[in-house]
Amino acid sequence: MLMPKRLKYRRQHRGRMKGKATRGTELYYGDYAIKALEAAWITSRQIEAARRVIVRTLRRAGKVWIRIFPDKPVTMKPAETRMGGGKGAVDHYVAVVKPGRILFEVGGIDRETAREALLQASHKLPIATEFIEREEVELSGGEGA
Amino acid sequence: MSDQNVTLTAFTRTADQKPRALRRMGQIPAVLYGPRFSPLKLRCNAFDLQRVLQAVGTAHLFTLEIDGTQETALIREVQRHPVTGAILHVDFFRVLQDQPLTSAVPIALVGHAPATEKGGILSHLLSEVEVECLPRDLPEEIAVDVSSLKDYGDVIRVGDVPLPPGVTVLTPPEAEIVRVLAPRIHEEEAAEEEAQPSAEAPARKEPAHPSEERSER
Repeated sequence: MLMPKRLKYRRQHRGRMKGKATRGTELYYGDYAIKALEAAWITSRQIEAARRVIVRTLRRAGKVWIRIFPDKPVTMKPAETRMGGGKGAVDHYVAVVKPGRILFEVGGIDRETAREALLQASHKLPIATEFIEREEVELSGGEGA
Repeated sequence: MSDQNVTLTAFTRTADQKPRALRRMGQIPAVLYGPRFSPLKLRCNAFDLQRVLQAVGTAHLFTLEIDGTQETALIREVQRHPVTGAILHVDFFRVLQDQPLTSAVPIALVGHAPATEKGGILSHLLSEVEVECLPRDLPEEIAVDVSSLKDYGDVIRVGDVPLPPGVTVLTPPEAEIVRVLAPRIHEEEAAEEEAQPSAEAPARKEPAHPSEERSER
């Protein structure tokens, strides 16, 4: 699973997820992608589950790019613990995703396979997503691509 | 090369015409700039702009008609809404026929790569290249023949691509356009999937029993 190699500060504040994504909103590496339509914390487990289902659906073809990284630590207090005693221990890591963010990209495969793989991936995520594709793919329809 | 038969009508925009209000009325705020020309604020019809964008993209010249005068222009940048993809603002670049310009030209892969028959994955790494040329020499697209890709690891770089006369590429010649990747072995993937959950298990410290956890605190 994805997680930071090291952290400057072990625990973070929760923060707010206002507004839209301002970075990572356009297709960059592949030809097809899914874009977040809602804001959420996406855990490293969810990212891994989505990645696995994409790889499984693509079989041996294509390439996958993960455009989000879970760099935010989330703490949890143990079950049945009284309040107080400081902030809990780091339990897992999440990526803060805002609407418009590209989550996964795939390339080197046909449109239908990409669509199926990314649909399966979206089922592993806690938010609504949208399938998008590179405009040039539609216009040129190059046989080599 | 240009498609100057495509014409877009635009109007000058005053400072009191706010972009958000224009978008509500089906207009898109735009700007026209270029060499020896002071920038001009514009507005144009969203539907017409969409039609022109589909017809010419960002690497073709077209005619921009502003309040009766005609300019040859290029769409330099399109700002889109991050969620809906709706066009928010457009930059037009005013082209002078005697002045070289730089533009991003799309790359089109043509032909059939023999390596794909062996299971290789054609990884298209660069979708456009930056070129400098006179407006009349601007290519619509740069065709890259992939029929020379016969084995895994074969690569075509920017420097390998023959260019039309009068066109200089600004993208570094060692940049890879397309590469043949070896297929992933399915058994390896399965093994990886099997191995990963067990590797994760020791990383997650879960208390054996809640009472044990309480005693720690």
